[in-house]
Amino acid sequence: MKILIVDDSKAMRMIVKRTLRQAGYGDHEFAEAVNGANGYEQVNDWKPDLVLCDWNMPVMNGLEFLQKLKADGNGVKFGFITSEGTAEMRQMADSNGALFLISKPFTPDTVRQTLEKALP
Amino acid sequence: MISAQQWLDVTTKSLTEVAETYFDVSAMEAASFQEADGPTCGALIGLTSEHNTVQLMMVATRRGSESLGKALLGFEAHEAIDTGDLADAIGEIINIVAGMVKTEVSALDDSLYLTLPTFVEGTLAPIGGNEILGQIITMGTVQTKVIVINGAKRIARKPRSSAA
Repeated sequence: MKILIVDDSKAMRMIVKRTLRQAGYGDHEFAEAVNGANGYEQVNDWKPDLVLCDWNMPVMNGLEFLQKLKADGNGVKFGFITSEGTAEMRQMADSNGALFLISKPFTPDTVRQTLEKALP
Repeated sequence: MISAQQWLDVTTKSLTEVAETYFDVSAMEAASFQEADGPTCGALIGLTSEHNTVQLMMVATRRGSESLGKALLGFEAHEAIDTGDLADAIGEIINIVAGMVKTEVSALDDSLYLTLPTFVEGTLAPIGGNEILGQIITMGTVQTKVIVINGAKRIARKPRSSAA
């Protein structure tokens, strides 16, 4: 599986990759993007199977990125990994077609359980 | 209006959870923190709404912050970390904490806006008119100080402008 990690923080992209490896996804392919606009280019060029995306980012935030993909009719599997996990954001993520929202800080167990549920 | 003590309690709880989740003490260089140690190094972030305005700050010594940054980025203890990576890592810690705080206090104020984190380095000095509380928290092997700068009383004192 090809997994695109979108976050403006290099530290968080590294944490997500490390956690995915610890969760048993170490043999999958990873690519990174630094914001929604960069992620959008990578989705079209690299064609990932799954996008793990932060919410608050400069240039294009995660929700705008998801809405742009949906407007294109792109059905790539999409989940948020974000520092804010309010009920309102979870509802917004769900209504825009995200498969899940993992709030930070997250553990390998949380990631594994969420991905197993979202990607049977 | 959320009090400075409420902000500090929620921030302390959140920072402790982040420390337990992300910091492996076996791979970290220890660093104590006392303000007498000299200039501090850390990050601050704001949470604002019509009723509340607060800045959450986490500081340590430069060496302590470097130890946290290297642990977060997966660097070896002997590797150097540049200021850009350090600012990114420390900023991400306070960003995660602020997101947790925002979620935790959403029952009290559901209109809070989270600003972007800012890396800071220098000497701490009180700002007039704000209520400031702080607490030492150990993250892995590094002592940090979490500081809450609560400006809500200033909002409460501000006279409302009359509608035109």
